[in-house]
Amino acid sequence: MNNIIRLSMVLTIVTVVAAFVLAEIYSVTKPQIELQKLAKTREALHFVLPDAQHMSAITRKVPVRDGDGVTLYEKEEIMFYEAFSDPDSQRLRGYAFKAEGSGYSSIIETMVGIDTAGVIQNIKIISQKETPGLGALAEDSDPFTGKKWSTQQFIGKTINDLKVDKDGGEIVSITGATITSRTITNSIRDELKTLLPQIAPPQDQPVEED
Amino acid sequence: MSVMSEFIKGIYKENPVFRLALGLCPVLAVSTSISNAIGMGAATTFVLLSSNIIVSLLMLLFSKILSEGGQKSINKIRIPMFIVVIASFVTIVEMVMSAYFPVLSESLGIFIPLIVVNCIILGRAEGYASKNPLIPSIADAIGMGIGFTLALVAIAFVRELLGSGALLGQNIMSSNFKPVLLMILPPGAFLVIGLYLALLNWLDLRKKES
Repeated sequence: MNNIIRLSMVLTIVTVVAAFVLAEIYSVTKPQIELQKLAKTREALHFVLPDAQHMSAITRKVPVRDGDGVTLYEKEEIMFYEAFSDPDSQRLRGYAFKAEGSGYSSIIETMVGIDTAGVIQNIKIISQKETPGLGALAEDSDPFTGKKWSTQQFIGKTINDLKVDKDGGEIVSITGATITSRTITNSIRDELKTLLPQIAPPQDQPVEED
Repeated sequence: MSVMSEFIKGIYKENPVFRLALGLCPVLAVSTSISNAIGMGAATTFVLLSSNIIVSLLMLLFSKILSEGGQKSINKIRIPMFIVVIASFVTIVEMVMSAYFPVLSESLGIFIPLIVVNCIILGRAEGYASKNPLIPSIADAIGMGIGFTLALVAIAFVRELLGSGALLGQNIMSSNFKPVLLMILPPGAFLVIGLYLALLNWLDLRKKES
């Protein structure tokens, strides 16, 4: 009995010390990690809409519910970004949004920039953990294999063009990584489908007449 | 054995990958490119060094403050203690890496947390550091770490060259070269490791005969 107490004492001390050290380092690195994430998002935004001078995030409140469906609090979630071609937010250049889908072995996040008519300006893969050498090639804009996959091929495409070649579309998929290519393509299409009605330019909206 | 020979043995005579055949899973996973191999090798060496130091000191502490019987009973929980120490250092590496080296942490991804279960580290903590004083433990960790890194780079050299026609991300093969996809995938790693093992055994045999 005495032995058991001694052993658990030692183990407890070891784990408590470890937890304390980890907590300290976590509090030091946490802001830096957040900063890196922010910088990455900003970089991706700039990449997909390089001529935008000002971006503002359009958010919506998402209720966070507990098990009984009671709303605990409301979380703010970024739906998309409005991009303006002047610093005073007068001239609307287009929109940027994040598309997300599960690929072959990971969730693939893509930043997409579109103009006001919904034509894709550019895309950038933000995060993926696909098979190295296959699906992971999606990120390279000029992959070494010499295949025709490139994120550049999305430029100028609209929602109706977004289909990989195996599904009868125009997007050339990565050889050996059709699932990855399809996920990227389809996630952008799905996201566009939900976003386009919300961001339809004012002049296209039916004018109510009385 | 002198400190120097402790250090040297990990590089060739007791190379963790080619001689002890330890830690093969991360070797299979990250030896697709030389830059990944170097990053993984450095991270593993750091964890190996830190855990060897702490384990050696911890055992020294117990031998000073505990009676013979106490040391014997502490031995029963040495593995959980080692695991806590190793897991803490791996978590530190992961947090520091994603805070200050985001590019590296992205390409190594899931394999950083998996250093915890890399048998080299527990193997050296259990098999060496827990039975030896501080200085030889440090020499052992650095030697083993360098040996692991060199083995990773040696495998990655072949795989990256044949599998993507590049070295350190630079295309060096002519445009007619068709990359051997197999080399990038796990079977390629098995093949390369097997061939290296055969080569080393052959060299040993020849040395014995002469």
